[in-house]
Amino acid sequence: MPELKTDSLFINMGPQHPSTHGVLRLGLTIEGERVVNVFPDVGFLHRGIEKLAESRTYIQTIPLTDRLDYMSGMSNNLAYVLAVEKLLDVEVPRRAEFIRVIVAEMSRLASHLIWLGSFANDLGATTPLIYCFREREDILDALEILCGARMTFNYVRFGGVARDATPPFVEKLRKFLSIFDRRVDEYEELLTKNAIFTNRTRGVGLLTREEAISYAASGPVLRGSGVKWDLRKDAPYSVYPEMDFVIPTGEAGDAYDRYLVRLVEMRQAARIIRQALDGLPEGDFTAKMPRVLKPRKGEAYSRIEAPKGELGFYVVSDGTANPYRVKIRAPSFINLATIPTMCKGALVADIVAVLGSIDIVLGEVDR
Amino acid sequence: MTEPDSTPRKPDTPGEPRTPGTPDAAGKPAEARTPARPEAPPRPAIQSPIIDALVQRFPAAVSRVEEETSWPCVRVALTSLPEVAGFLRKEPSLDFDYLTCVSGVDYPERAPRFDLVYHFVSLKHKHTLQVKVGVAETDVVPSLTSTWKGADWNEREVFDLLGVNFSGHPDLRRILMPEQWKGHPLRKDYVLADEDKFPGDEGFDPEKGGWGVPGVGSK
Repeated sequence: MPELKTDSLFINMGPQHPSTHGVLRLGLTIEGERVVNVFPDVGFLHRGIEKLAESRTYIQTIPLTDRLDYMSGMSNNLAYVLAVEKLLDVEVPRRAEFIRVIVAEMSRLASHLIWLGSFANDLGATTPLIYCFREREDILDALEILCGARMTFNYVRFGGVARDATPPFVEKLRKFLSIFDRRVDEYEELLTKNAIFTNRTRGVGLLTREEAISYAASGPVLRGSGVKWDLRKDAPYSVYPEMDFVIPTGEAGDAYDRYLVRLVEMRQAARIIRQALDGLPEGDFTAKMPRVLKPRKGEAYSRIEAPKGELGFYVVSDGTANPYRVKIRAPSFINLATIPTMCKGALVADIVAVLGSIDIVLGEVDR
Repeated sequence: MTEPDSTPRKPDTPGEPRTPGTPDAAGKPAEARTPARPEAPPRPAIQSPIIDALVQRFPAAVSRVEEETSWPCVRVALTSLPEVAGFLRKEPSLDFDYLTCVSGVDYPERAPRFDLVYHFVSLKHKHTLQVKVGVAETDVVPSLTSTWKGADWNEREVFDLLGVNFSGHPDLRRILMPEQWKGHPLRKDYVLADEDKFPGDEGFDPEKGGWGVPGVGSK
């Protein structure tokens, strides 16, 4: 019998594919069911936010950051504001710092809930999606009480936050937190030991510790590969040093480990919010700021642990009212660069699991 | 008494306060109630033992910066970048294993025109370093991809948005803008909406690998 000759085949996944979560195109070279190579093609959602920021004032740039990772606008606001505040002589009131931590952790919950729901949905489990959106709704309702918006908040401002945390907000949040841990138990019941789920995620999308560091992966992708690195602990900002929480890490560096890491992070985020609510001091929610903001000449790089990883803003000020340059170090963008490594030799169906486990938002990848 | 030809709109006088929220309402006298001084003087650069060690090791290639930065910062000559970067990675007391961010900044009035800004982190020592490299428009920057794989997409982004060229990069293509886009948007002299910068499907040839995207139209 003559030897069968096989040829590799090039196919497109996306940019209009339901499990690419937006407009990501993956060019795949496959041999049968095996992936030989993956070529991610990004930029379909590029809106030039870095360029837009140069023609806007510092405060007009805050709403632009809401449109980066639109699952967690509060984190983006915070990262940008922290960068500019390094160039301002401003002392943020303690109450504002606590509110910032609360909203940043609420953003983490909202982001991880969406991730969990859609990840499980990609792998064929529809139920968690509905449950996760139910819980996320409570978070968005609370944020709506706080600042009037549900996704594009424009809430964290230079010197503090836009509005004070009112008793109805605190009450709504406490009510949500009282049930949230039980809800996470429910998700775990549905997924953690589910044979279909573990078969689809264990040993899939492997990223070694060395590769994760070399790629500068961050967030749950880095921690899933066993690197204990969380900017809330390792380069603390705001009032995180006063909070008590643990950093989960994985061992194998596969999709399942990233799932476990995020589940623990959700529980820890709820724990941080509880502590911050208990310790919420009285006082001003914002410092007095000049109407025209002109940070002094200089450069600042600030990084925070956003839900998807290290979100950095590099801001160059030339002393005028507009930033000279704003560079956004988007965690999804950097994490997505690891996908060719993670997918080498995988099955085509596993790409969905790998991509889902990275947790990308194209608004942030493409900026 | 008004003249018949005068329009109801008052001409803008420099000292006149404008509507609130207008960014250039800066003509107003600075109010005493503002704690953050808008005209604060720049602060001196950060001192750090890492900077001292680098300047001592590479006296010709590494120099201190004068501007205020939030991380310790040095300026490295373009030709010495691979050498200094290799030292940053391999020297056990530095051990910068994490290249978190590569940015490009355009200073059109200055020579060399661009600054590449690398943000290095050491996960082990938890220290940080910002490295600036001046790059002229015609210069080719040695890629750091072989040492830090994460440099790959970062450098492609700088190439795409600022038009800085890299050598030794495994796959230097545009990343955010379409392959056939004209110009580099983050350059300061890039005029927005000046002309049609996107020629569409012009230049697409499936026989020659599409727009040069690997795999498209080829086996």
